[in-house]
Amino acid sequence: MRRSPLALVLAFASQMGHVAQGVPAAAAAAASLLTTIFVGRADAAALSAPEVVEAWLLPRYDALVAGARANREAWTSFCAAPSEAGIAVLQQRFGAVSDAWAAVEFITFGPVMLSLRPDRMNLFPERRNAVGRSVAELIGDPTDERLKPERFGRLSAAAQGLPALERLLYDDGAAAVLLAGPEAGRRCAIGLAIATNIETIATEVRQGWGDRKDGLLAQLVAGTSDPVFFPDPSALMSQIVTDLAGAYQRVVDQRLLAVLGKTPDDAKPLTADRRRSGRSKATIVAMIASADSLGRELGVALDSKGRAALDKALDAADAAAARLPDDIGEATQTAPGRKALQEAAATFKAAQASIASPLAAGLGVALGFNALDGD
Amino acid sequence: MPATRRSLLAGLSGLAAMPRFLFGAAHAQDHLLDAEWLATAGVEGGFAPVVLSAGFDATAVGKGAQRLHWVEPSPDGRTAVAVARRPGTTAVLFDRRAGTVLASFEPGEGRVFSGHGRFVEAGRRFYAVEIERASGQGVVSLREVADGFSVVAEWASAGIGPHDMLPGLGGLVIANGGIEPHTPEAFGAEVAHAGVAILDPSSGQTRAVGTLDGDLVSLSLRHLARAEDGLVVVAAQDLLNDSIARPLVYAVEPDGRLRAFDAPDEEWRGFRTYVGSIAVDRSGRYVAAASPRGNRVAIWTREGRFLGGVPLVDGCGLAATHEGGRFLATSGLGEVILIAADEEGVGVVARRSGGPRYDNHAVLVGA
Repeated sequence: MRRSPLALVLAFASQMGHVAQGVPAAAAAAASLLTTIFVGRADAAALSAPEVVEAWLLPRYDALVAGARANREAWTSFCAAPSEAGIAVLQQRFGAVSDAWAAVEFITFGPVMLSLRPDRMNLFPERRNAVGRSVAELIGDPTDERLKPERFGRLSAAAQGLPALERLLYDDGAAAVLLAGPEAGRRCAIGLAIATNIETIATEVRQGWGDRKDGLLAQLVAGTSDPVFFPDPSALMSQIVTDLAGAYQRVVDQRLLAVLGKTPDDAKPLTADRRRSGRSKATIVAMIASADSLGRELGVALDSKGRAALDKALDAADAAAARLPDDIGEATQTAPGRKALQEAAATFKAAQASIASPLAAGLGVALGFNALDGD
Repeated sequence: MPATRRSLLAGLSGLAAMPRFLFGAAHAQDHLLDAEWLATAGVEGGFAPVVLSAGFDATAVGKGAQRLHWVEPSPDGRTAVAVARRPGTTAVLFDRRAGTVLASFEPGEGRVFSGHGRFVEAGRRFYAVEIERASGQGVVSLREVADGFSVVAEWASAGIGPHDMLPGLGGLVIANGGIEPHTPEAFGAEVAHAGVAILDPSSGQTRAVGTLDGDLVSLSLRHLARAEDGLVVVAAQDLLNDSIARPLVYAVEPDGRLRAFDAPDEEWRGFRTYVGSIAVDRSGRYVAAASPRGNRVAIWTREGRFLGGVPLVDGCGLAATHEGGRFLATSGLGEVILIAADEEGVGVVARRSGGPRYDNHAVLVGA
């Protein structure tokens, strides 16, 4: 039987369980650059990208897994014995896992990039009431078939993640119909299915990274390229810095400017992220705090002047996040509120600029274009 | 608007860091004589056109302050025009062999470039795509290259937010993208108001406009590619992020109708609402589309049968090669891959890392 070279590549890929991908010699050669140490000046500390993953990223994924597990356990307990106190616990756990996701949402490299994990975890910005429709449709389904874990992860992303859970907990009257009534059991089962799915996604991402001895991190430390995740491991630092810049852009473009509109008449207060749970500010604070901490982690490789400039911009971002109005959507409706949001956006933009220079420039890495660019 | 001395100077000031001679002559000759592809990229301190050799060596050609988008090689391969992306207002003609800036031009008053333009009439004239800042209405300007890109004619693009255009289907094909996704303006919008217009190349009259309807009205039709035998394809980006799988690649029929390419739902969802570029291979047999959001390049037959895809993190630039069944793809992380396709599948057959951060597009020289 004749088999084309491509067919052989595909056969190889299917054994690996993912898409077709050749691994030519050039990729292996690139791996020799893996141990590249980024250091700006004599008074700066050395920095390696795998160490940043280990020291900064993986603890945050650990926190996400822990938060997701606690959330799932809370749903299990609640469904066994619904109570008002239980609702409060569910809401508290939701806030924790939501913030834990906000802290890593802007990281686009590594295992999170496969299987639509970011969308399934948190479909945002949501359009056409996709989440509301998906949740309503699931509530109306009398069978449990689609709630089984093996099926649930293949449903619409709108039904699978944090926004769907937020609906179950915070929509008008949601707590009451979760506690009692004809839909209570069904809503509980859906909440548990979502919480289980969130834990599964978080765990898959974290397990994919592994540790220094096993998994993707071990590959990076050992200098082995990965055909899907890191065909060029030397680009890892560039990916980290690009995603860091993207964190500020996500906040400015999606969480602030899109809600603000150009004029008060254009404002879209109902599109504020996590508005139902009253966490529109908290989500931004979590993302900015996480981004700032990554910036500081990387800034150790700059000279003292660069580090001072970077720290100043990041400190300003932290302070601006802390000063944000509690309700982002509501703030778009008043002149002082709009001014506060615009000032915060300007400060976050300045922080984003500081990631390009002095950070990326000082580290000597290319700041890639990112997926928010459009066009 | 003619390219006046004022506009020329203004354009050049936008490329403040660009020297009159863009690189050493010998160096230029070495790289450019064997140039295979052109692209645009982010380089230290700015943005530049980039020349790619057959071995994927990248040489930046000068540097400017405005982010560039598409580079259009002239038919004889001696010059090329790099166009700034929206909201840029600079386009620059450069000599690939001598490395000199030959001319620079701007859009009409109150307009910005969309980032795309094409040579026609054996390189004697150039079509630029322009957008009215205030209204979003599209304008196609036909310019005389030898006369400093003076405007010969201007036509309405028959839609808002035009992005890409090319000569094809016996006319001029324009992708009027409507509302641009992933912008604050697009937030909350559910109808893109996009369409593919076919204009008469001599009069500018609209011959046909192809639009999508029903559940597909959220698609912004943005990028075009063609085969020598007449096939024209268009790629879309979705305003909606509602987890619904919508086809993002279409063939444009001569009457303007749009024929959806086929792919499993999970493949369409895997693009995460965004195709950033599209290309047809040298044989005209295969069509490739790249999604930097989905970190993926996928390939179809010209009939629209899905063949498969390969991952490429932040990959967007796509071009044919001189060989059929092959595509070049570039990424924002400085990677270049060579993709091979046949009727049975798709694979990566060569890779080069460490290049500049390539922007959205690449193009084969002398195609």
